[in-house]
Amino acid sequence: MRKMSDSLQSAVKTLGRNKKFVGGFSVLIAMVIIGFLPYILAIPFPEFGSVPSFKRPSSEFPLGSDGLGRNLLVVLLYSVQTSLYIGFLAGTFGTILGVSIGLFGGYMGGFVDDTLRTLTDIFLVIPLWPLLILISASVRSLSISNMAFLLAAFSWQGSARTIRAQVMSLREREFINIARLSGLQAPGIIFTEILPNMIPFVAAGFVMSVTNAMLAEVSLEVIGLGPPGATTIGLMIYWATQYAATVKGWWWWILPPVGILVATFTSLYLMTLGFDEIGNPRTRVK
Amino acid sequence: MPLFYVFKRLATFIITLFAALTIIFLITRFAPGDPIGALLTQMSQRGQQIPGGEKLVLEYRKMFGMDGSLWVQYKRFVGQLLQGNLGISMAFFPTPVEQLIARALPWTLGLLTVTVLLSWIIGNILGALVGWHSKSKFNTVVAALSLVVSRIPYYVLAIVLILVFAYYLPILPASGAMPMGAVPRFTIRFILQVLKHATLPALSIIIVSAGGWLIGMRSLLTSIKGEDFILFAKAKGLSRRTIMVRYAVRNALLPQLTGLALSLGYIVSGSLLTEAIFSYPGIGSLYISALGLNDYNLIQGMTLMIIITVLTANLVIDLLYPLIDPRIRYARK
Repeated sequence: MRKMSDSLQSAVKTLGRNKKFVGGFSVLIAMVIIGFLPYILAIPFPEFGSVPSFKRPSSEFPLGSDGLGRNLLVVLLYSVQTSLYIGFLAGTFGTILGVSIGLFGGYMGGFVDDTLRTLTDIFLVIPLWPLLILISASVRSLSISNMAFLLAAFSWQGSARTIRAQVMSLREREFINIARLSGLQAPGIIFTEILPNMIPFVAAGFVMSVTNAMLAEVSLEVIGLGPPGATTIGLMIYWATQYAATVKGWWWWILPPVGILVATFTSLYLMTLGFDEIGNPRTRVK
Repeated sequence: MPLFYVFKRLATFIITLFAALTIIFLITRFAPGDPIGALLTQMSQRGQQIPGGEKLVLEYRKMFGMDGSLWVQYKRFVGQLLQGNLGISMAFFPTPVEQLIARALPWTLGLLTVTVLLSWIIGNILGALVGWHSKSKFNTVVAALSLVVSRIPYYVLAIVLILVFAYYLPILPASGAMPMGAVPRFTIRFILQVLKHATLPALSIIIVSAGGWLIGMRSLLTSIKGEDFILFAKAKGLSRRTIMVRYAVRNALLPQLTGLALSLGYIVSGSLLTEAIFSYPGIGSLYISALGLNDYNLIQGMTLMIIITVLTANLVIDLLYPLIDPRIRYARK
C-alpha cells in the first residue's frame, strides 16, 4: 500500500500547483461549507407553512419567503446540501462503476473487453437525458438516494473509457510482466500495480461524473421530477417558474439558486481544466 | 472508402438503435402506474361517459398495442416502428403521435438551426481573436467570462434573461412563439412578431453555446501557435493576419466542424427545457406536457425520435469524416 500513498502524495502536490484546480476546488469547498451551515448553526428544516408566504426580502427573511411558506434563505442552505449530496453520491457510485468496468475490461481483454466496450460505447452515444426523463417520469416520486443511484447508472461511461485506455497502455509494461511472473493473480495486479498509477485519471473521472450527475439532477428537478418533499437547487428553480417569479420580478426567488448553480458548475469545470493541464501540458495557456 | 468500414459502422448503428429501442420499450412496459387507467380517470374527470368498463379497457389495450405477452408486444412495437408508426396519443386522443410531433417540430428546428449556426459562427470568430491575441488583458477577461458562461445550462440563463428583458426592461415577450391568438400568415408584421418572440429563447442558447465554441477555438489556437509551420510562416515574413486566418484558424476549423456536426444531432432535443421555460410550442413543450399528462405513447415516440436523430448525426459524421480528413484511417482498432 506504500505505492498507493506515494502516488497519491505526488498527485496532490502537482494539483496544488495548478491555479485552475486550486481555484475551482476552493469554490467547491465553500459550497460544501454552505451546505453544512444548517448543521453547524442548528437551523431546522424549512417545513411548509413555517413562516408567512410571499414575503419580500427583509432583515427577518434576508431572501424573502416562498409561496409555500418557507424561509428562502433556509431553503437555499438545505438545497445546496441536498444537491451536492445527490451529485457526490451519484458521482462516487458512477466512478466506482466506471473504474471497475474500465479496469476489468482493459485487463481481461478478449470477449469480456469487447462486451464491456460495446456497452460503454452505447452509453456514450445514446442521448441519455431523454431516457433519464422517461425513467424518472415513470417511476415518479424517487427518493433522494434512489435518484443518486439512477444518475450514477448514467454517469460512469466517461470514466470507463479513460481508465480502459490507460490500462491498455499499462498492461504491456515491464513492471506488470514482472508482477505476473512473480505469481501475482489478476485482482492483485489490478489493485496493487495498475490502480495506483491511475489515481489522477480516477480523480478526473470523478469530477466529470459529479458534473454530469449534477447537470442531469438539476435538469430533472427543473421540470418537477426531483425527489418530492426535498429541497434542492433545481426544485427551487422549478417553484420559481411555477409561481412565474421571473415575470413578477421576484429576483430573490431566482438569483440565489442561479448564482449557486453557476458557481458550482464553474468550479467543477475549473477542476476538470486543471486535470487536463496536468495530463496534457500543451493546453496550458501562459 | 473500404466497404468493410461502412458495414462495420452501419452494424454498430443498428445495434445501438436496437439497444435504445429495447430500453425504451422495457421502461415504458415495466413502469409502475397504468397508462390506460390514467386515461380513463382523465376521461371521467372531464365528465365523459365511460361505457362498457372492462371491455373498454381491453379495447384500449389493443388500440395502444398493450395486449398480449411482452414478446408479442415487442414484436409489434418494432414492426410498427419500421413502418414509421409511433402509435396514437393518449392525451390528445385520437391524434397519431407522428402528427403531434410534425406540428411541433418546425418550431424547434427553426429555433435551433438558427441558434446553433449563429453561436458557432460568433463563438469561433471571437475565439480566434481571443486565442490569437492571448496576451491582451481584455481578451483574458473575455475568455474567463465565457468559461463561466459556457457552463451554465441554457434554461438557467433563460430565467435570468426573462427577469432582465421581460421585467426590468420590458421590451421582449417572455413566452410563446407568437402573440396570443394570432393566426400564422405570411406578412412582414407576423414574421417580425415571430422573430421578437424567438429572441429571448435564441439569446439564451446563443450566449451559452457561443461561450463553449469560444473556449474550444481559443485552446485549439493556443496549441497550434506553437507548431513549426507557424514559425515557418513567420520566417517567410507573412503578415500576422495571413498567418492567423490561413494557417492557424484553418487548421482549427476541422475539429470545430466536427463539433458543429455533432451538435446538429442535438437539434431536436437541445432545447427541451428552454422551450418549457418559454412555453415555446416545439418538441420541448410537447415533451414536458406529455410527461404531465402521462401520455406514454407520446413520450416514447419523442424519445425515439430524439435518439434516432443523434445516432444518425453520429453515423453521418463517421462516414463523412474520413473523406474530409485524410489523416483518419478507416480500420481503427
